[in-house]
Amino acid sequence: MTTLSAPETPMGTRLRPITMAIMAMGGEGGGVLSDWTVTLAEENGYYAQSTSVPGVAQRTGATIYYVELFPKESHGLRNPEPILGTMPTPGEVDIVVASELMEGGRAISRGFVTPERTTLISSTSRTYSMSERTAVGDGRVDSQGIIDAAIVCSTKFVRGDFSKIADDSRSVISAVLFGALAGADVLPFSRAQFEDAIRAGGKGVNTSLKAFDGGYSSPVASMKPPVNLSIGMRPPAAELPSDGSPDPALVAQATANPASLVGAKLQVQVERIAAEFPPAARYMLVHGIKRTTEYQDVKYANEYLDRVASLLPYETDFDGDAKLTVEAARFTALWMTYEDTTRVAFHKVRGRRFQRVHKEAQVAENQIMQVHEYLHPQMEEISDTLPTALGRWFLNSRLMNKIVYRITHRGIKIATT
Amino acid sequence: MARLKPIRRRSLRFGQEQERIDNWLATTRLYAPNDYNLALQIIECQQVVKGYGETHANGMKNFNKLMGAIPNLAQQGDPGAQLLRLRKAALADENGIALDLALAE
Repeated sequence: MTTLSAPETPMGTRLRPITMAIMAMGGEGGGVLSDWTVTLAEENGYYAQSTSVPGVAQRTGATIYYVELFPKESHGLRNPEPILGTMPTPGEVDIVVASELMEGGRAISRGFVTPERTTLISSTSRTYSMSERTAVGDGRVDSQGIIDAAIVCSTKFVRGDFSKIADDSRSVISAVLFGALAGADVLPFSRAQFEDAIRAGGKGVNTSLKAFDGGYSSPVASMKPPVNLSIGMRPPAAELPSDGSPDPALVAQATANPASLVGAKLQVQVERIAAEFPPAARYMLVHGIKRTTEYQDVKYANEYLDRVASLLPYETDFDGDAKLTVEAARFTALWMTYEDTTRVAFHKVRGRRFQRVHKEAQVAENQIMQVHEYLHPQMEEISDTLPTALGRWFLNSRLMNKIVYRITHRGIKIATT
Repeated sequence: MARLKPIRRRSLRFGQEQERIDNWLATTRLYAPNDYNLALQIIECQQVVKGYGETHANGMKNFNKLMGAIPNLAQQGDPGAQLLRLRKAALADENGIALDLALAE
């Protein structure tokens, strides 16, 4: 292991600081992580300085924290107080910590990660970026590509699903990353010293220490065995977070015993799925009836099954992949649950959403949260929800168009709490 | 607004969407007996329609272009692969520029 300790570099002639960049999104505790690192360094004989450059909202960029550490003494002699840098410089960063895989990738493309110098510590979890979300098709970036690049571009690539470890220990990702930093064995401090820095912070110490422990063991897990890289890399399926494909265990359960996945209300529908449809399509169909029922009612789920069943005579691969039926089950369900004003409103007043907003806004027990919705309805969105004849009249009426425009063109605010 | 579920069935939009779904499945059944892959690709075309408001309207426009191209494609070799190619073009941008180019080929 190459522990970075400035005075003992092989060159030995020039002292340089240990440099570390942290890329984290808002709310992930990047600031806490850099504070811990500063405490850790200052308590153990180092000068430390940290800076941050904030990113922007809506997941377009992360905040970059930058920390430089410099020993107060070397070879028993006191070093003069250094002037430390305030920004990471490409090619001059020893450690890059990223809370999310794409941020690790961005650090690589910005030149912060260099093969001869940088240890990259990155979570393999993904938070999709705006450009990935707004793409018409599937805009997701291939995670394996980033991982492959990271292996090539760094001295050492420490990785793991740190987001999951954080969730499992009910902590935040910063504590897991701090653990991974300790476990990566690149800073000249002991595990106990790392843990003391967390204790010095004084907040949520026990959960943070638990998350720290989860992170600490991850470098070993991701680097083993260290000699042979091709063996060291685990197969993509085990390494990557879920790509949205269903849990195989659930698929097996749906295929063998679809009734176990739905409530009493849909038992008749499930029996029909088991009796009439190809085994390979059962999983999708179970989801389809649940989705259409939630969207409208059980009758609508029956209509859904009728529609998919209309293609059954043409299913020539009934006992195989039954692709036509599977895909028809998928896309008919999606289309039948098209996004209309009613559905969007349903999602807006759902309990789950308020819980999420509560959490994101970090509202305390004794605080009251108010959510204001910003609406900008268009003519069609109003006429869509009206009964057919009325809706058509509404849409074609010049007077109504004018009135709606007057009311809505500036947007409307409604409090939903 | 969320309480509108009971009257959704009678809404203008609901009637339109149900008709579109049935037309799409009818088209699929029309080609399915002779060409399984083409039928599958017709089903897959649904993914160009998504979202709401303007995004949905643009998606629907592209979807209709794809459906309109099928009778012609069916006369040629490997219509399923051709439709797949057009769908990929439709997914390339929201305004359907790539699709129009692909259709012009």
